[in-house]
Amino acid sequence: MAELLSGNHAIAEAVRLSKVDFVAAYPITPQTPIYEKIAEMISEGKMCGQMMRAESEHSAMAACISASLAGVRVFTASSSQGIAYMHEMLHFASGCRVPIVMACVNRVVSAPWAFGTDQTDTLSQRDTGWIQLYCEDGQEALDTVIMAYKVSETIFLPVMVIIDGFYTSHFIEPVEIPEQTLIDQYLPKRNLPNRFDLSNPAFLQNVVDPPNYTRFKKRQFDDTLKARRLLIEADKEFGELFGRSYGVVEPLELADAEIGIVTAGSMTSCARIAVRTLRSKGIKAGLLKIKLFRPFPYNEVARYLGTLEKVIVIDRNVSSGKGGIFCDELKASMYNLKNRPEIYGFIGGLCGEDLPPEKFEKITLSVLRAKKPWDVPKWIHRMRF
Amino acid sequence: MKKHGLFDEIMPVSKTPTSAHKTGLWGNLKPLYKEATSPCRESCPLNTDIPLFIFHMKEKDLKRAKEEILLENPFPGISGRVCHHPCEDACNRRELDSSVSVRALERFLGDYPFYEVPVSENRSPKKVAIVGSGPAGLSCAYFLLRLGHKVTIFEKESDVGGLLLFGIPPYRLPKNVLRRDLHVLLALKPQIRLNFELTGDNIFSLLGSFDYVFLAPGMGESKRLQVAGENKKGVYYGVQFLKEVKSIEDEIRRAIVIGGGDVAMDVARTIRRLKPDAKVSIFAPEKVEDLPALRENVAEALEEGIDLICGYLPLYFEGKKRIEAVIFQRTEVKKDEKTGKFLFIPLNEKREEAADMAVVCIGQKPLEASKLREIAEEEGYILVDHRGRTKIERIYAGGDIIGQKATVSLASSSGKRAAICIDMDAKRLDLPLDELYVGSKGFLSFKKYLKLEKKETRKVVGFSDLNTLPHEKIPRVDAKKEEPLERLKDFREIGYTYTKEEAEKESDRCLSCGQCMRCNLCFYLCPDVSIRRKADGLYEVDEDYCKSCGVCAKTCPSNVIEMVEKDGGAFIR
Amino acid sequence: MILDFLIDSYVQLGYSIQVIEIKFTGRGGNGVVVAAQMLAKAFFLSGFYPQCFSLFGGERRGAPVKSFLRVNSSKILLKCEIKKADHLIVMAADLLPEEPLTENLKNGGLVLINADRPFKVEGPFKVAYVDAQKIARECRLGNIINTAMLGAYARISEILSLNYLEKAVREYVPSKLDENLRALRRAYEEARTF
Repeated sequence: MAELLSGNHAIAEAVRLSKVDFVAAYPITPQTPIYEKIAEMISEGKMCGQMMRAESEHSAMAACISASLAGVRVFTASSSQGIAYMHEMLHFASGCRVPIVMACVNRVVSAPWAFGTDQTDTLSQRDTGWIQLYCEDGQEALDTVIMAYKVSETIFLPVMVIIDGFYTSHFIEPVEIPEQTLIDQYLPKRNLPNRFDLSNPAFLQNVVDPPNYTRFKKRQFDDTLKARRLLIEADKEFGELFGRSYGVVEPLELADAEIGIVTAGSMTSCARIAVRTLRSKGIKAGLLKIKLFRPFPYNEVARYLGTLEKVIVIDRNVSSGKGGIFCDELKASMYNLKNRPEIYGFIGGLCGEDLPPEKFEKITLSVLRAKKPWDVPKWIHRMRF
Repeated sequence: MKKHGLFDEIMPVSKTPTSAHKTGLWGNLKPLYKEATSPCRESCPLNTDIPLFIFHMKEKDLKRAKEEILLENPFPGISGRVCHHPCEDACNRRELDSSVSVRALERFLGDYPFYEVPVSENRSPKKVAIVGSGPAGLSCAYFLLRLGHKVTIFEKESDVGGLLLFGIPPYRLPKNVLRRDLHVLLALKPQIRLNFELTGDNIFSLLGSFDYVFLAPGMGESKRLQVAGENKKGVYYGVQFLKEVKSIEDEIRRAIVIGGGDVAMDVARTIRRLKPDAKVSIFAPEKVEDLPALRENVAEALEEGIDLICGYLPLYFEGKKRIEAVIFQRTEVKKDEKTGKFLFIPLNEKREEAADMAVVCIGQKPLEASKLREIAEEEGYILVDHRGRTKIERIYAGGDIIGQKATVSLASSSGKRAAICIDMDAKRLDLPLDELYVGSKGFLSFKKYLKLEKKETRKVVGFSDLNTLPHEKIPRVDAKKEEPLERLKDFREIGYTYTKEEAEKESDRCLSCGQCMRCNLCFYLCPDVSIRRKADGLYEVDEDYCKSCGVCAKTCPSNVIEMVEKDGGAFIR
Repeated sequence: MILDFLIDSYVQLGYSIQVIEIKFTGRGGNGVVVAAQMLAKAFFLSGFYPQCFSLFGGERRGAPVKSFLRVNSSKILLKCEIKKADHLIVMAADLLPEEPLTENLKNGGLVLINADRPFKVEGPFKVAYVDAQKIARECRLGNIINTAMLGAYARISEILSLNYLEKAVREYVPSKLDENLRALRRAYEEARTF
């Protein structure tokens, strides 16, 4: 059944459908409506979990870790500075191997103080050991939260489901809400271990020596890589049951393309229109939407982009002194390929700056004319088309 | 041990306890649990271990709580009503909010129906004659009986109780409470001879048939003012009034009571009940803040509509046959720094008060001195040493007659002292009395004499010794009391004993100074898990793991932990 | 009429083009954001695919607020601000100097203005007006004029039946339902084109 929902409320519906037992969070724009909607559903009896308003995001994550160690299904959500404040607990969560799902609604990390979207808040948590999934719209976010629990509870790693602030979080669109019975079939309640077993007392996360530390880290690293395969399977199964599936990356018109555009998040939608328009003008353009950022989808990237001549990466984020983060990751992942495309980096859409299809078209045309790629990214807002 | 399989491989989980390392070998100090004396107990003339009986109440073991009181105090029901409670004045909790209502808790336990007390085995019991059955005599009899001696009580009146029976009106101390408390003593089977008049001669005949004699005859007579008109009709004297006057036939418009002690208050309140229409005024020589009467007694008198005028002594009584007025003179009371006695300094201000009746309550004095001239001093007082001995061998004395402040608990205390010293003399025990003292006020402990005392009785725990962080401010629980006008209708007891809930609430306020209350704080806070709970609720320290940090001693709310050297030093072991 | 046109254009030009773009301008407290949401709901109920969003700045009463609505017969991929709309709904006419019609409306576009008298504008636009302020006050709604504006919009746009709007109002209005429905219907009657 379809309903008109904002992306935030779509995520809240997913939390309800996933029968989450425990939610601890702290409000921050633009994530707050998720939190409010869950609180409302619990108070109205539509959802039976427990809600805890922590005194900070740091404490919220600490509470989530403990609850998850106790064996219940846990959810939280945050944005921007809130995610930054969680930072050390994020490392702890992945090290504790807790299957937490967190919705992250991208927003600039101040200063300057602002509200618009910017993926730097989640991308700067790249090395915390969390699985990161970037979603294009509310529908994908809803479906991805449900898939995330399936993957997370299999491999025991926490997952961030990420949407763009305002573009996805506040755009109200029709969203298909799956049947609860089908969700229960897809995502049954797991018998997660309760690590606080009083009859079998133990010290969790005791001090370890270098060999043991390395052993646990290697195990975590390997398991994180395995998550890609699990996600592909979970996505396939979801598609069979509900008719929607997304892949870990989504290629569009890439089979015969000469030039490819790489995007993540909500800007992909406008890029789709741009590719159509370019194709209608006779330009062989294609698009690769990257959904899975950690673990990085090396195989898919090589498969879909390896044969192209030129690849454009548009980053709604910036790592000062280097460039767009997706662009750099992409370059690094393709370095060892025999044939690899020229990669052109752009930074744009920061703080929710509009990226209409025309801009993608113009960027593509300019890259087609370019003689060789550049190291330092070009900033879209300063370009004259 | 059950393993989670995968789950122990993905994250570090240790099931090895920290006991793998004997960290205690590093430290050279260890905690020593040593309970000490609370200031309330130190100031109690009977040495009742107040924090201990309150601890039993907290543990909801009322039987043990009462047993604990009966070890030092034969009459908890009585002292729970009339004691001048120095314990509450010494209470450490006053620094936090207000003192614990110890007297009300004692009254609650006094009313708890349990009367059995153990008697020590005694192979050569002595026969002891006790003269007088007031608090001192009864107390002496009680402790002697518990020590296995044979006791005969001689009483002048036709019933035992002395001042308790006739000197304190029933609305403060009902007769049934007295009888109930005496039941504990009577169950120990003393011999009782009533209507026995003490004379100078029969003391010596008593010495013939008894091994020891304890004299506690009390004060037989009221002090006189020795002013003009004192013998007019309508002038009465305090204790005699309380004892003899059951109703007043004459029409009384204004009654004047002279004095500032409890007898004055009791007399005024009795007149208020007998003559509800009369105006009753108390004229006391002392300042309001120095009145010797109990605070509660003064407050209740005022509540009942009695006037209190301080700083006056009568000059003379006016009237023809019957008094019509009392002429007062303004008086200043000063304490003589050397003798500690109060001096009354007349000032140049007079005051005339009309009165149909006056009751003089300025204190008591011993019976006619000549009767006991062999033992007594000039004024009739009997001097005793620190063991309660008079100048004649085998004769001990106690109570008001030895010239101490006239309170029930001091009298009982002197009875206890005599009982212990008689027992020591009978057993030829040469024990310095210091060893029986608790604190520094010179009151003897029966518990200590029976070698049942486990606490350090020389160390008194002050407020600054306590960790009061775990305690919040809690208001005192006041027992319910009737409205003043309701009380005046009859002589029924005023105020109710705590309900069980009130008693629990008030006992929770006790800071438990020097008394381990099994709060487990040391157990929980020990960073090396070296403190264990024993089956009896107390704690033991595993020196293999205690590394001398002292957290337990610092945080103990009751100051019962002290850090001491480990035996042999740390490194040698 | 327009519905037919829409479906035709979808069939002819593919799914990415020819959506109707509607823009609301007003002041915080007028109900600008909820107006777009209610209209989106009404379109949704009548079988369209709406996409509705707002531009948030300093959110407070009296500050200028804009909200947007795209309507299509299938999924809308276009996710960016609407510069020049097909339909412009001006809930506070005093904002017009700051937000000129030429910058906010396509040539040939339709503008509905909240005004107490016929409103002259320069440019190639279809103009309609309604005294939503008066209607709202008389229906005891104070400054909340969104239901009145929507009633008038239903009349002049001729895309949407009043039935669906009434359903949307019932779902969104937190209180004073009857007053809001009265304002909706009255504005439907009183809206004027010229």
